[in-house]
Amino acid sequence: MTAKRQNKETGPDPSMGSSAAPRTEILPVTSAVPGIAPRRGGSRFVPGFRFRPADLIILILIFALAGALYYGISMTAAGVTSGTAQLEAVLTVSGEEVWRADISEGASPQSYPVTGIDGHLTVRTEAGRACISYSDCPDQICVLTGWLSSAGQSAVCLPNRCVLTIEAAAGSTGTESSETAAFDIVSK
Amino acid sequence: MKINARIRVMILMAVGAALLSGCTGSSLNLSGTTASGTATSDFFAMNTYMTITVNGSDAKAAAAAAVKAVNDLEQSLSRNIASSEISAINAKAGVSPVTVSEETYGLIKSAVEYSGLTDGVFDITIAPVMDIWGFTDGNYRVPAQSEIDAALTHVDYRRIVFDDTGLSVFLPDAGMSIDLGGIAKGYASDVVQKIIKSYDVSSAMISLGGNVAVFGTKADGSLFRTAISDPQNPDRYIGILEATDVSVITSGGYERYFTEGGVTYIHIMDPAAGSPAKSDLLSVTIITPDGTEGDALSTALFVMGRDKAVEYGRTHTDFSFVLVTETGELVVSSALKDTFTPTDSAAAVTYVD
Repeated sequence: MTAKRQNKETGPDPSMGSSAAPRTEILPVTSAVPGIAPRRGGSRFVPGFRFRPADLIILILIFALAGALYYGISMTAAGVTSGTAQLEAVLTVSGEEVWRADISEGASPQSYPVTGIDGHLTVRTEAGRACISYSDCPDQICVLTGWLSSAGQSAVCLPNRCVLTIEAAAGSTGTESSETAAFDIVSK
Repeated sequence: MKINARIRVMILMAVGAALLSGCTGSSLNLSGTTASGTATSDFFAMNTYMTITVNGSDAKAAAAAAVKAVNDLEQSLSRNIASSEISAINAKAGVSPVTVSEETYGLIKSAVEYSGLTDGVFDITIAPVMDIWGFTDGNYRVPAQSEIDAALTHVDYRRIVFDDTGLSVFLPDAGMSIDLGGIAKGYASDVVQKIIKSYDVSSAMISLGGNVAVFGTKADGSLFRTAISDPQNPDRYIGILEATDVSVITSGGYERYFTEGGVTYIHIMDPAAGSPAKSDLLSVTIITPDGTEGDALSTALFVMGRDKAVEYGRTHTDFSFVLVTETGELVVSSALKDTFTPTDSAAAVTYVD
């Protein structure tokens, strides 16, 4: 406690006695109290602080965290520069999501049977695209829409109240921030 | 120094490191929405799929009000809903006039005005013809010529009797019936825009079954980009229109059709022939601030075919169009030269007055 008080540059503590050397001297490190050796590795700036192995680990962790944050933030700001965005195909029936599949680069092909409110459909997905490959509806508009490959595109089966949409996967940069989408809406 | 002091120093260093790592010099562009919010609703109504996206402080309330308005409109305008005002008029055909709401009265009158402007190419009394072809209930069939002739005797918009004082509509012939399918979605988009604008919002983007309306500007101040679908390939588009405060409404045979005996029969009827229109156009897109006009004219100009449509555009200047012909040629109003950008795949682009 006395060392702390001395560090406030209030001058030597008169209660310590006349034999105490002022701790503000540069060299050498001496004990405030005669007869008691100063602790090894004590810093003269933060008295009593000794750099221990645990401190080294904490420092490494902090720098690692800073580095990871820097990398993560610069990646998000600049957008994904290599490879395709993480895309997903989402199928809803009457507004409720019933299926979601990864269609980003390298995703394996999938085929999923769906029961709509009035019939059956099949959704097919591959890396980079998805489509309604079969439906027993009379107009077949959903099937005729063909492959969807960009975020925002959709295929709709009216009689079955089914909508297949391509979305950017949650947590990915998607196409909005990495490049400007070509259009906002389609008149058809 | 005690443990708590050590921990404090560590925390300070960690916070410092985190803050420093955030200063990369580039900003996070999370999305194009305004700070106040965006609300998107997608739903099924009027026999199609609709999406409404609103930006602004009151976005959520505005979008909800818009959805309710469309559902309410469907309840009063749909021929397939027995309790609708249109069904009431059709049920009393040949019997007595039916009093309707001011809104419905006004819409039916507008429809008849467009019939007059287009010499009957757009005609809401076409309903009996749609019935015999199966476009009403989905049981598609090719009717005999005698059936077509019989149905055509009930098709003539000039026979609708209006009472402006009593707000009633009378179909004098028991076989007559009206269908507002060719104008209702356009009208609905006008109603929706009006409602959304009455809230504290900055912009909105609406698609009622592909009938697009946009107003305001996006968060970054740029105009909305509306793509026009390629009638020959639904995956693609033929061009992009950069505009706002406008409706962009497209009609084409590719939207609804059936095939029988190797022949394709589209849902757009030619009222004179009583059968699907045989047009040299694949699609017509009307660009106008008036959605009701856009809906009616997109159907009418499709039936007219390329030359008559171009002539109509020359003599009526309150709208612009983009036509896609059967050869893939784009015919574009010259007023759109600066705002419409065709994609490279168009065979040829012709600008007309």
